[in-house]
Amino acid sequence: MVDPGGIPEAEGAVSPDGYQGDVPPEAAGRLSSPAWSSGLSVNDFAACAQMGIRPVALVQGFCVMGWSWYGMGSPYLYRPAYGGAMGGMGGFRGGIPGTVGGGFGAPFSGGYQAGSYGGQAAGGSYGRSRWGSTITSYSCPHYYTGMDHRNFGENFEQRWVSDAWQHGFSTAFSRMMEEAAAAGAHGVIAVVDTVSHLIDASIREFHVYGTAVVVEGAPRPPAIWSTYLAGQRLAKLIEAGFMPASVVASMASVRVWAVCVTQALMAGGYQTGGFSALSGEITQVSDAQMQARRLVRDHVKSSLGGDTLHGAALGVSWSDVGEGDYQVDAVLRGTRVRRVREADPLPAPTLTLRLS
Amino acid sequence: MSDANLPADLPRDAGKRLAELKKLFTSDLSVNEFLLIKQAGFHPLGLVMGSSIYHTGIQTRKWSKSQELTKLTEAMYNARELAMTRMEEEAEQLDADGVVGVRLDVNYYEWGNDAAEFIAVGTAVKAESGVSHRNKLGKPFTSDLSGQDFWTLMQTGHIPQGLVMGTCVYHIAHRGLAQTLGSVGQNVELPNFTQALYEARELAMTRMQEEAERLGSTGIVGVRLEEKSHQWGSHTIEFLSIGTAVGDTGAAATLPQPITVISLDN
Amino acid sequence: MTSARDGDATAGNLRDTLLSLAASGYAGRSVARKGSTSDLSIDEALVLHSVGWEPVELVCGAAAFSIPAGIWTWSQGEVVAASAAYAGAMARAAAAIQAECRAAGGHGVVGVRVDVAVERHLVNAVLVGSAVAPGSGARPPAMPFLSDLSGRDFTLLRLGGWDPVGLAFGASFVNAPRRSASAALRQSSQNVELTNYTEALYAARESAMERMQAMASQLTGQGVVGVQVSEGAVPFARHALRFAAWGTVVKSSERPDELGPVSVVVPLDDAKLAFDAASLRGG
Repeated sequence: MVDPGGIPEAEGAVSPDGYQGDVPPEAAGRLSSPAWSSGLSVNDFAACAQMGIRPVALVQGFCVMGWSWYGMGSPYLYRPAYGGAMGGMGGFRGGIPGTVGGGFGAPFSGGYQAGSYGGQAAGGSYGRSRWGSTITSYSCPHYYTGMDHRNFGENFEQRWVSDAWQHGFSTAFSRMMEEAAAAGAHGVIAVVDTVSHLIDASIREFHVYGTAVVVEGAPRPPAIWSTYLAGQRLAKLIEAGFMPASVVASMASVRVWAVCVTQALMAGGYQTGGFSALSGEITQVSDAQMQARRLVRDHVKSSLGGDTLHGAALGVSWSDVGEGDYQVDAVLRGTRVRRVREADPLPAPTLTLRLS
Repeated sequence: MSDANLPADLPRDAGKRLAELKKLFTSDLSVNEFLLIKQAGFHPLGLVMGSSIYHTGIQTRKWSKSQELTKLTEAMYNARELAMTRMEEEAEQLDADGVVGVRLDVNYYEWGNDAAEFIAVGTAVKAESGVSHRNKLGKPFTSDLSGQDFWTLMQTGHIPQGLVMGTCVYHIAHRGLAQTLGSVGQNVELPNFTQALYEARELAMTRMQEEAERLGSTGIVGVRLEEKSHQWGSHTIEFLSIGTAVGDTGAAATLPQPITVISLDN
Repeated sequence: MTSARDGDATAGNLRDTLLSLAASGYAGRSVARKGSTSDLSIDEALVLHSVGWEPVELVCGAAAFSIPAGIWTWSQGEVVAASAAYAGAMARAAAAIQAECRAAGGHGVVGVRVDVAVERHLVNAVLVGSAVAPGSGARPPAMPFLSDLSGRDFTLLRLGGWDPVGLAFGASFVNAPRRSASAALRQSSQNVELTNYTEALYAARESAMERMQAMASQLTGQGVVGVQVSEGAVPFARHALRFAAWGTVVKSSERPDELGPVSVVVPLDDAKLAFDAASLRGG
């Protein structure tokens, strides 16, 4: 099946010496200037000087994604048939939210690995035939039901959403790393990443920026490392025997196609065919909340390769999408760190009370 | 303790809850405060609270005269006293020596016009040694000191006697047209405002000191001056002066010599 | 706890670490176990490490309980269905996070963030925290503890000879009483206590705390520390008020109190705010 979106293949890792021309010419000018800018506070800057780390540039990357749910090519064009099996997603059309203005370069840089989804290779195609998969199914306990009774429901992982998010984030991140490479950096610290609406809800902007740094007197690493941390916290991390490898972020989206019981409970209960559902646990929704968090954690863990995720930040949002249906989106961010030295034993803390 | 011993103005659930606190303690102290209170020789008994919903809205006032609105002052004072008294009654039920970390809050609700809820919440404590540390009136002491301040105070050889407060609701005269025009464009003192605010604050602080004298205390620490308009509009302000009255324990001061430190952490 | 460090020694250490790392091509030690996640900051991780505990996994528990239609009308007394839904959702969420902790091999969860959203037809409770375990490799208990204490507070309590046992919570939803028109008129001209209001709200607060205490007794704890109280009007039904209280249940352990005497410190620097990189975007 031909995908009209045309997502290009990844071209492989970006080395610190290379400069893939994906970044606008204005950036090249700024990055080659001897004066540097940085997002570090005075405290962080002082801490960097203590560590022997010198900032070289403020680097950033953007990616704007079209985020269309409805319209040509959207999976939401067809609702699932009531009472029919949904396992094969027979009623769904293909389509992945497209990149605005295609033709961009390598989405992955050396230090970053995409979350793997089963057999999908990092940097390869996004599995155009894999919209997602059913996580759990629920069936209706009623005997006599009417025409519009939902006698089947399921919790569904919307892979096209997380794939699109992953594409947006990793593209923005790799562009930031390209700028860092152009500036001759060894690592990027104080990374901040945001996703925001641009103009309206159908366009999302991924923006990742950080401060590129160089370790004084050290040779160039094989891959530029990156971390959300900066300053004292980074110093303590290194002193504790860890080395940051890369920023890691992943997303999971779970959709609840409500079965009749769920639909009833979400509307405050109703009576149907002599069977009433009034109150109690809404199992489908509880499951969806747990599944979204578990999935995003699993996605991230599968890309850690035995390392640890430090300073994880889990952001979850959910919404009622009408008629008992529900959606939970979870994003997990953190720094992948590797233990390089045994931690020194710490002395027992002494208690002090401040008089001020 | 059975419900029969419970003061009439405490809800029945309170009786049940306070009875359970014989086997279990609760406290809203942070871990730091909890450990410091224990170092000071006290252990927490349980959370105690008192609340009162009061209607405070009415007193006629002259638009052009600066005066204390005595009825409103009484009302604000009574409302807080009711909340504090109920909290003290709960502390009595627990056989406490005192209450620390008292928070006095005022809540407004949309469905209550001119009604406000006054709440007092604190943690009741008792001395581990079993010696009574109640105040000179034989009642559990109250104080808004944090656990850290309580420990430090005890080290100086003093103990809280009670939370003392003085309040004054003052109406500030609106300025007449002639007066306003007369001082327009000049940087000049506005004497009626100055006088009004001076008098109001002095009244509040005097009343607070009188309360402290009644408790037989040697002084007041941690005095806070708060000014609120509540729901009365901007020309009517309540001045509240609140602090913790302290007394001598007779024990020697054991505060260790402080170390000076420059912290290198954020 | 404060730490004053010698600047030069730190610089030497870190520079050497980075240089030797760079020289070895950033290869790390081979890690025997699968990767783990944790939301503890480095300070918390170090403080836990000083008593021999390590983070194991980021764990969470979530549950949604439904609220039947029609209960938010302005009637009298407690909104029982809402209180029951809150209690049910929190209990299921607590069970779920304990199960995840057990599966990850943790002895308990610290830094639990409690998030309860009350909507018109459902209560959604979410608990997220880091599962921790002592590095000694002792067998995890059947019922891991839950606590909303930070890593630092957990360590302090342990040193003080206390162990967290679990999380206790209690909530009550109550309708504000209604006054009859004549009562309203009478009271509006006096500065007086509104006794029926006082009774209703005071009782609701006590009831929320009492439920928390009951749960704490069930967990066979000796006390509850760090009780947090949250109260407010229900956003979509402002005549209904919600009171909730939760805290960590503790029990004293057989370990001796390892905390020494307190020394008093006068810092010579002014309080600084920690830098937040996101503030560059005006956020």
